[in-house]
Amino acid sequence: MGLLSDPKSRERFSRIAAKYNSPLCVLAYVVGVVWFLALAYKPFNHRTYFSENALLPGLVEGKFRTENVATRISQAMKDIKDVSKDGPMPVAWIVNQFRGLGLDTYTQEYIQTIPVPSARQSEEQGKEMFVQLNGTNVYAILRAPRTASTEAIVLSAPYKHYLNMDHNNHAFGLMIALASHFRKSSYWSKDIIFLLVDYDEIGMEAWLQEYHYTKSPLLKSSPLHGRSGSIQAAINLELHSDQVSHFNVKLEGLNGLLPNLDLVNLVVQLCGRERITVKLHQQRDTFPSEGWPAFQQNLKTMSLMMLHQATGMPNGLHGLFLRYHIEAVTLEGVLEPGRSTTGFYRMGRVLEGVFRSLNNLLERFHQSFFFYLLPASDRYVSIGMYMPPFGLILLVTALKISFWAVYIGTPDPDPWDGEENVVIEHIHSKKTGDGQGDNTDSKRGVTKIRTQNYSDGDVWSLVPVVSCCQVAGFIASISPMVMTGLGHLFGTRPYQALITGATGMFFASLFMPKCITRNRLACTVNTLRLWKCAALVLQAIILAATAAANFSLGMLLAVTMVPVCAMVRPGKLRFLQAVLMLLVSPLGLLVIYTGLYLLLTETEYHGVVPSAMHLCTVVYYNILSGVIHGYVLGTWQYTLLALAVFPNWLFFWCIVFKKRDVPVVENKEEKKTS
Amino acid sequence: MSAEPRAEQRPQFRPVPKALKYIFGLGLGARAVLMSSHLAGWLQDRLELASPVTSWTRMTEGLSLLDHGISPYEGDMFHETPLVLMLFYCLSKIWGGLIPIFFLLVDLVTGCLVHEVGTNVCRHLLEKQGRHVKSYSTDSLSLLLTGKQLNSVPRLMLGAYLLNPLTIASCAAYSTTGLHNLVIAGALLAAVQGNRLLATLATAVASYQCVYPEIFIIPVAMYIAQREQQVNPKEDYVTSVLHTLLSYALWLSSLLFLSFLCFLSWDFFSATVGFVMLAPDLTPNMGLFWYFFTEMFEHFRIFFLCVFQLNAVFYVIPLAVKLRDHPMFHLHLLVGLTAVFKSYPTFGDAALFLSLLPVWGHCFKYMRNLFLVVCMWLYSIVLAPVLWHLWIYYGSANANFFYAVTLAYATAQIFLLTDLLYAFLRREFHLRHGPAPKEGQGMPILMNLK
Repeated sequence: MGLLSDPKSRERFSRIAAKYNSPLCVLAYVVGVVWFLALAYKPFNHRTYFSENALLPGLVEGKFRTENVATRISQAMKDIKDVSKDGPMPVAWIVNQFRGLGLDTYTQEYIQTIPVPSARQSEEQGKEMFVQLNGTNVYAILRAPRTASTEAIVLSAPYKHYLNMDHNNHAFGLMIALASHFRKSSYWSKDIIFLLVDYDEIGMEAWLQEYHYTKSPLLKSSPLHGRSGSIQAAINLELHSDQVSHFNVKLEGLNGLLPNLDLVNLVVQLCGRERITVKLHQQRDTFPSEGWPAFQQNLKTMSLMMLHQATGMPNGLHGLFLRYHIEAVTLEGVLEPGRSTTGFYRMGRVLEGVFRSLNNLLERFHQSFFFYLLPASDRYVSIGMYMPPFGLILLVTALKISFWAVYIGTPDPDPWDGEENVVIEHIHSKKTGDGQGDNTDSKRGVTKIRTQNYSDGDVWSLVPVVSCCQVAGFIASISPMVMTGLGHLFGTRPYQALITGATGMFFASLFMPKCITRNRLACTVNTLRLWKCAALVLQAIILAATAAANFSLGMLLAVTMVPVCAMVRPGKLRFLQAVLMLLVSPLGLLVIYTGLYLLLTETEYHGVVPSAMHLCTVVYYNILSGVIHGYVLGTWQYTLLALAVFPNWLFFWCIVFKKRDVPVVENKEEKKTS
Repeated sequence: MSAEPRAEQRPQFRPVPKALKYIFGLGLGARAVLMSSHLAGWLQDRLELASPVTSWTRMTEGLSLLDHGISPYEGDMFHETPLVLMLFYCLSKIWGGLIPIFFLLVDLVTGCLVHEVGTNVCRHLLEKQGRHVKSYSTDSLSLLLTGKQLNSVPRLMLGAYLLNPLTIASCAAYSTTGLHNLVIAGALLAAVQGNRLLATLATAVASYQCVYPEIFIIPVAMYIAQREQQVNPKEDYVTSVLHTLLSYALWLSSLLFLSFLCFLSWDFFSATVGFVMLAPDLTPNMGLFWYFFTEMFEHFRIFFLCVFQLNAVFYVIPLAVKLRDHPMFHLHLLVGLTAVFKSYPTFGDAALFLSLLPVWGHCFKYMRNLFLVVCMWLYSIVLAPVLWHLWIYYGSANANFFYAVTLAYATAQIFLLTDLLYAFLRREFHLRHGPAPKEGQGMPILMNLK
């Protein structure tokens, strides 16, 4: 409280904060970034451990022996697919497989309206505005012999991957094999739901919505006829072949949600027990685990995780469970040529172990961590470890805020000196120069100068600027859909219209400084200081709130935007500032981070031009999927960028160009003439 | 109600200024748009906007219980007062569409009342300054109030109430907080006009409706007594205060009796006043009660309940001593204090206090934490829904995250209140000793609040 009530210590603090401001900012930023990067180094992070003792992983002996069923079923499914040539899901056959095991089997049909047609669909159906997907989910419930269906665990698998048109028949084979094995046992105290979904995320969303009685206007589905209890956990299975070299564990869910770390540990631990390699984002854990190469590798894994999480899009079907407070991960079996492989037998044993551990759970996952980053499959960085460096980076903004807050009230011309005083003179001399200028203008000139003497920022000037920026953001948030509608009228391809809508507002608003900085808003140094201060306050709020909800997004935004926005000032070096600002604009950041992602994942380099083309394509699809997922799945990343980050950025952009309408040269000429 | 006294005081017709038209149009437009958008349903269940007392969901429950001939106070669902329930019952019986219009009107009238409060308080302050100006230091002319404020302050207050996003959201959520604000604003206006019967009636209505304004009667009584002394110096201070208290007690008991007549039972008393006082519903809200009482051992509950409720009302006594010459300022501080410390606060409560601030704009110069308070306020308002969502819907954060935000929110308000008090006292000091008083050695004096 001393700092708040004692003027002496307050003055001392503000003096220090003002005097050493820039070095302190640089120090805070550098320490923050280095600290954060260092978290990927083994001595700075922790080894994962089981917080939930009820799981008892690996205490039971695996009894899974039905791998031949898996082989048979997956082959049979492949045959059906080959015959039907990628037709719809063979619902009746799948139902028969489940019924054959004596499970309660049900189907669910749904119709999803997609507000923007996909490229393939739009070519087929001409200018169809809305595309409707009809799909069917099949699920079977293994009733637990020991309880009355109050709790359940889900084993799900997509029917096929629509992105790369890869069939998932092996996962279905393994699912049936596990089902036939599980139903022979009497120890289940939770129902097990086997779920095969059509159309990836959309089918999953349809099933989950119906299961939890939630409704969405774009999705109509038939009611579920069979139900179980509350779902405790879910494992989603994707197998690319019957022999896999490793499991790729996918964690990132909708809007950056992560499953409880205990579930991830469980899967990793049991895979280790069956000697199946586990990778995160296709990145192998290193051995030895210390040293420079290991650090590089861990940093790469952690960066990939952050880049994925920041998009807010689920990278597997498990991501949709997380919204319903159900812990879930996706196990992706990948065959990497030249590595030793594992068959259905050991994969089945891993899943058996996972399910038997989950069966032991006495209450929902609530221990361990929900906010974490993984530099390796057995190392974690928890929220308590990554928040301090993030706080240090935000401290730069806080220091700048306090710096400007100190200077707002002073007539001191020191920060942003000289030129600004010329502005004042200019306004003044203009009035004296053309005396017959209209009355209101001259009044304004006088008040401005009085404000300068009184040395206080004009708080009201914030209102038009902030509201203009917010309106621009609002338009940007709705424009993709509006443009798609308009484009439909004019016969534009929906994708192009959507992209135009999403980026058009951005490019249009680059000219906003031109509009708002006419003499109407000519302002003093102090007002500009106030603007900068307000913009920094808003930025800090946005970044803090974003980081609370989706840490990776907040961190990636902060690490680039904070230093640039802290340096922004009106006037000087406008071109350089403009370039920097464009780099940290929402679109610029998207390009940068997509580039980083490609750099980390792509192994081949084809030269500058093809790489740039490739980058553009990926950025294009990222924007598309960001917008469309916002409507279909309810991700909020695009809305956040459009409604909060973009207006804030625009505010800084306006500050950079604030002086444009009062050229100094003109002023000198006027002085000469007068 | 608000227009009539104005017309009496200023017989010549004056058109409504353009700025006011804009404020009314914008405020009502924003409310109407938000009410008709799909966000309205979401807002109704926002705990920041609707407490168990003011929630519209509970009101509909009460209405339907009443419809089925069951007393809404028998269960543990409904905590609004009987007279308000009857009001809404009549409205819903006449035409369901009246209810949104009613909420719009309530906010509109509150805005007008706040505007009138501004005009009257400014006039009162100017009058008072005129009386005391002789005792002020000759150097402190620059600190004096000018007639200019009479014009700008009420408009600013009206804008601060009608255009505040918090009141807009609160109105769109059909939260009866708007109604609470209306009666409190009415009490403030009646108090500053100084008519004893009217002032006590308005205060009684406010305390009947929101319980905590019962402490307003102390500054109100002091204010009326001081006014009477000015008119007639022979008037006894204590007698006047006792008159006011008596009149207040009569009004309040008649209101309670009227409520008794609605259901012919006293059940409502424990469901409304008892509910607010005993705080049995520990659903998280923006206040300070829920977290403490969920953590607490049951046998300490009564003790801490007393502590917390005393904390909410106790400040009236020290403030009455310190601000004995400024009951109006005291009254306004109490509005802010109850908004922080009451058992079921919402954003709407704080918004009323915020809209009263422009009247004390002449003290802002001496406030030291205004910027900090603004930042804290913004942070807590933005972070509260985010962390709530993470806690309740995603299950990844926990109660402590959300509680931290409510704590920051309360702290911001307390900073604002203490800072305002400090600024007010400091301005008074400077009025008497000049704007830059010197110590014995000629050094500038350092002000400290310890």
